Amino acid sequence: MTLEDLIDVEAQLSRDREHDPAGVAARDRAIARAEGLDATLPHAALAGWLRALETAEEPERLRPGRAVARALRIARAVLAAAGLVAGWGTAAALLRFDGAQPVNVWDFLLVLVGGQILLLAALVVVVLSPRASQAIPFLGAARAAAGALVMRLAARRVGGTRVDEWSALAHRLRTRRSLYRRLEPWILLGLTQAFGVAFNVGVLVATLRLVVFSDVAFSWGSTLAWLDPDRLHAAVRALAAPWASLWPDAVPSEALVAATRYSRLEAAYYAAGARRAADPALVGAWWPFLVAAVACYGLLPRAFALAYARWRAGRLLRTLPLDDLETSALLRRLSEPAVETRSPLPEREAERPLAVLEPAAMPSAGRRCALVRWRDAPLDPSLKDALERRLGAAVSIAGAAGGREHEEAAADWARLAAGADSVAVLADAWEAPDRGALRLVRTLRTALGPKVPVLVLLAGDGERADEVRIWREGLAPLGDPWLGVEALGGSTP
Amino acid sequence: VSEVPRFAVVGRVNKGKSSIVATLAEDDSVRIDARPGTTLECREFPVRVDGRTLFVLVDTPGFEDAPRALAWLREGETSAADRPARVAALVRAFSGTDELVEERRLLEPVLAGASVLYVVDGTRPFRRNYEAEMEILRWTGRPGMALVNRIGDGDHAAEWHRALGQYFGIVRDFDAFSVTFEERVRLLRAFRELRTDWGGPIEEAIEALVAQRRRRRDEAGGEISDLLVDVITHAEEIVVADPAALEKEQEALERRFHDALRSRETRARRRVEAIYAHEEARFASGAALERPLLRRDLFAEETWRLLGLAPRDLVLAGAFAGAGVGGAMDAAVGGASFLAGTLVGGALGAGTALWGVGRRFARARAVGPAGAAALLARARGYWSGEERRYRVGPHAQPNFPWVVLDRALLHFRAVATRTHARRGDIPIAPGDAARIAAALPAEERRALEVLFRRLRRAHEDPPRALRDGLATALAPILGRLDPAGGEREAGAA
Repeated sequence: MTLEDLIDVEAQLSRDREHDPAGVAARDRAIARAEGLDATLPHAALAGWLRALETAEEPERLRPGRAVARALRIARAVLAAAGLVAGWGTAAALLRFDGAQPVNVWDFLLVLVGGQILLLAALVVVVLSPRASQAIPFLGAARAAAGALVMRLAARRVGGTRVDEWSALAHRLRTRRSLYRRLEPWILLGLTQAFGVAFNVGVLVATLRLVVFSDVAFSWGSTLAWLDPDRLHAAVRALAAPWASLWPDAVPSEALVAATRYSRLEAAYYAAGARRAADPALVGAWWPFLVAAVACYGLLPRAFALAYARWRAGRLLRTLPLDDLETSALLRRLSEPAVETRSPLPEREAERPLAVLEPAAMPSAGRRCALVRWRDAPLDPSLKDALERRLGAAVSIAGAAGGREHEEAAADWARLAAGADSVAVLADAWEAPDRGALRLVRTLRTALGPKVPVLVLLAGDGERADEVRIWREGLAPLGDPWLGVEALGGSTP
Repeated sequence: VSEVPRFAVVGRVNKGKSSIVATLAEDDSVRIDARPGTTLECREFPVRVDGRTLFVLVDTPGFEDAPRALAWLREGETSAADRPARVAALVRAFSGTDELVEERRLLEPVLAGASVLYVVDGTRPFRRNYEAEMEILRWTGRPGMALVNRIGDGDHAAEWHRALGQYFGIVRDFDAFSVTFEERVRLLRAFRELRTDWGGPIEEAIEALVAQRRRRRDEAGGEISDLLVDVITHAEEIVVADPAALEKEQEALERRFHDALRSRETRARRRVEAIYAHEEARFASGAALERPLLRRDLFAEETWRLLGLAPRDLVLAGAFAGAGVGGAMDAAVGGASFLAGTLVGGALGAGTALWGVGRRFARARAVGPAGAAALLARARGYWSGEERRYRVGPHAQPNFPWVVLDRALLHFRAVATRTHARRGDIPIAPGDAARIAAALPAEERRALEVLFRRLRRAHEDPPRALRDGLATALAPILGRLDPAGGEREAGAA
């Protein structure tokens, strides 16, 4: 997995959080099946998932990984160029020789070797103990600056209308200690070390240029009486120990050290007496040592740190456990079967409007009422009494309909209801006014004539108002002014 | 190509066929209405795993004129072997007419090979006319199962079981409105008994559904963890330039802060609902009196009185969490501190819990940069009298995460246990809702309290490990609220 992919995974997970989870699950599983992704190999699976998303959908979507990778490359190039210029400039300043005063070796050593050894020591501490780096304010600021530079460059690359989206994502990447967060120190270390390598290269190139194309006289001096040539020679020999066997000429000889001790008071080398050095070749012979010192204590550690940072970042990327819950959830989506249970087709709209209709007025039952039991509605003596009280009429049973045996098929309703002023249909309130019920009422109306009241009485365990309403709505299409619907218990909508 | 198992859900109008289909298919787009004629035609709900249809549920229009259809069938009664053909003849005979429309439509999938799921309402009494429907279904010769649904409040299940047992080999109670996921799985397992050769695909579908359910629960756990991380670490800042507007600006800041927390909670709820495939509009609509604790404002006094931990539990949890940290220190020094760390940590934890009891709203306070920058800023502010920074948050009340967690758990349980047959809002029985958190085992409470405290401390840059830790700690709690695939039984064992 690459850094680019890692950031894109993070960004995609972030975007997916705004989408329908079922849709995301179905999409991911479809990708896994189409691409043959194996979730037990998470790195390859995530990379394949990203490639598939890139080609399958949103080709123009934000690719922050690419932006960050490009920004990193640009930042690295900018820092390397700055390092080259700074190194060149520093060396040129330190080796400035106008012929009046020889170049003081101390200045060169202190700035370009001593300073770099100190920085190297700090770097080792930071690598060995990341917590210690928090105590080094400059380091934190440098990292923050490098990080900000990368993010700013990336934001510029994203550009236009997506800056807000980018800033939200950058915030998430940086503040949520996401997968990317573990990599960031090594990436930033790589950036700073790229600067360091370029700086040292600049120093070496500038030094060699001056040595080759001009004559430079070196010197050293000290106020300290005990710092005699022997002691200094011992010190530079110790410094030169790493390359002594590889490049013996780069180890200053005792004669060189003794010959280049300089007195500013007399404006002359001690050994040569007033005015000039006796041997111009000897006073310029410090350069191999200085070049080797910069290479050994400046360039090599930086190059090593740069390589190490890149190796660590690469290794982290290769071995990231990818076991955080969000990534694990993605891997589960890739590996577990997608389940769809919803109907793929929308439900057809009802053909007839299901509007609430005005309830029909309850016609009078008259003195005698013929009763029809609908769909086995029970009729015990107490219920019959209740019916008679409710209707104010004598109730006689005319017949039954809607039962198992389809009794109404042979029923002659005109004969059965002869002599009655009205007909009541007793129905269970919870049964719906279905096609059969409508047919019964139509049949009754045809048999009884247009003006005989037909009363639908709904019985049940405490009939609900909505049940009465449903019956009224169901029978309303008949448009029968002599048809009424009422709850036996008297409840009304 | 092997035959795809099909199950036609049939029965009288308004007995809950569509409710059962909506619940089993987790499809809240199914039209459910007490009025007849809601389902106009057969609608298929294929259960697909990775694009393969493993079985199909078919929602059908209800029987409306079964006795008449049965009478027609009997007119040409022949041997039992020819009865399915006679049913097919009925469908053909009335084709193109407006008679027995629903019966023809519902019989078509059955004649095409679907097994029968016959639905009745067990809260209403059995009537003999239902036998016409059962008889017709028996004439089709298809294997069948009866489901006793619960639509109303009565209980006539026993008489229904006695009647249904004579027509169907399998009779199950199935309350489409309050059935649990595990009961749904048990019903699907019973489907296998209808035809043994259909066992394979149905078992595969069950496995995929259980895996999906677990994935949903884990995703919901991730959402709740994200919510907790965000609300516990949320803070807002303003720079007040005009001293005259100080009070107003502070109030606005506090209002914005609390609104942001409310809105974050709402967003998490919508996500959890989406994870469980509940559409937002349907979930949010409904009577205002329902779901009182979920609807009440996050910062309402009653919310804080009823939810979260009681002061005693809070102090205990704080003491345990503090003692845990102190104990780690004791362990680090090999017990040389004579458990002083545990005692002091416990006392500090309990103290901080006591300190915050009762404060529901976070207050804005003046802040500035740290160190030398702070001195500079203060000096500049002192001289210019301008630009003071104020911050509100993170919410310091120890009970705040517990109140948020309690509300999130209540909402989760309501969503996870809500079937897709329900319309409108979720009713919660009085006394059923309050304080899930308070009933957690002490071990779980302690683990959560430790995580809450660590989040508060790391509020500027909450590590992902804490979010993952929360999700891990919540997993068993959510598992108890929404057991999937035999977990309850496993837990009991």
